[in-house]
Amino acid sequence: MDPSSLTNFVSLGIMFGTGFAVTFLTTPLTARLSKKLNMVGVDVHKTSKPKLPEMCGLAIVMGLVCSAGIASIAFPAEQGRLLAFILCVSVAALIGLVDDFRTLSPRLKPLLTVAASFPIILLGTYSPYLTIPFVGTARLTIVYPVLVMVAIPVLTNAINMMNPFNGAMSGTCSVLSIAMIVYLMLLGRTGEAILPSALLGALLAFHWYNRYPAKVFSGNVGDLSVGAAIGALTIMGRIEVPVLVAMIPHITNAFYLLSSVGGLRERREIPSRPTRLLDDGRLEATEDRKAPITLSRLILAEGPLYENEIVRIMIILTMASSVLGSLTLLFLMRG
Amino acid sequence: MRSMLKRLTSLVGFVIVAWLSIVFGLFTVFRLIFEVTLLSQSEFTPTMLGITRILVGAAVAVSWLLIWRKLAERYLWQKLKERN
Repeated sequence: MDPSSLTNFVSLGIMFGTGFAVTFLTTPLTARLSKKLNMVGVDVHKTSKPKLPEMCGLAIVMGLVCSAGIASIAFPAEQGRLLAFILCVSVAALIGLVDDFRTLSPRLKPLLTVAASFPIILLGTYSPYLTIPFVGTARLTIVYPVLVMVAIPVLTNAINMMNPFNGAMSGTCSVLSIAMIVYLMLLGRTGEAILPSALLGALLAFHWYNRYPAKVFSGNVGDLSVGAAIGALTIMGRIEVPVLVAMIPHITNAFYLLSSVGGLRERREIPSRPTRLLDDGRLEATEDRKAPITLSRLILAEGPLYENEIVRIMIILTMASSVLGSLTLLFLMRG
Repeated sequence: MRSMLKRLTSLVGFVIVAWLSIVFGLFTVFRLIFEVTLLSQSEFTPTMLGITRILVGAAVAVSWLLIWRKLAERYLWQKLKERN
């Protein structure tokens, strides 16, 4: 192994370790803080209906910001990109925190998350070239910033909608982080995978607490900041199309939900739930035609399952789409 | 185990359909629609052509989404009917 490759792998390890350690240590603290502020939510998919601390996703934000801070000292040349990443995640986290404290209207939230794209645009940390399979590279000087302003809210809200069960967000997004690291390695840009490594560390540490049966919830603060982090890393890493493919389960889930309820609506405006809890603790798909179509309802259409089994299927689907993302990347490299 | 595999096969099938529609959709938009040019040129031709390309590109994207929705609806109601 040549010295530069070794340095790259050591950097990835340090970033992974920092993200993991900071998130692992701060999650119990955020849980205590949430309980103190009475920020607790009912775990509706359990027969015992336990109350769990919300907004613990703040620990993921801390893990990401600390890792990016350390990276900015180690890699001064990358400070612009690291600053854009920190600002993008922080803006999304702030919107998530506001949403956790006083529920934002479902129409206002996506509009506000557009603000998370501004650091990337204003600091110019994007490349207005989009590489498309079987086509090549398209120059989108005017359109690309508009796409950035659309992509960040779409991804943040798609990840927010993919978090109905214990460990669903942290599990599927850990797979997406691994996919991003692999894509960058396949492109020969291992050194650029430091932030996806930090994200993977933070998500795995959080998954320890959030997996079934969960001890904490990520809250909107966690979902929106992870979505913004994935969006920012996709744009800055120039891996737009492979990540779009890897996120098929998240994007289709969001589209099914929005199209079946007729747009952005509050939970109380939706007349029926897509799933119901059975007495034995399993979940089943409802037959109500007014209930929204979601990925979990499609998974349960064949018959009832336990919550952890549904999450396992969601993770396997994200793995399958990530493999298709790698195939897409190979097409891009050949094209 | 068998029912889990059956369930996974159908859902992975959805993912593959969505992937194919993204790849061929992007190809259609960038290789065919964005490459169209008009023989007769006027002052407004580039603007009109740009707007038309974006509108047709958006229509292709909407058609992917509608295909995904139709497939999902069909799968859901068929499975629920079988269950009952």
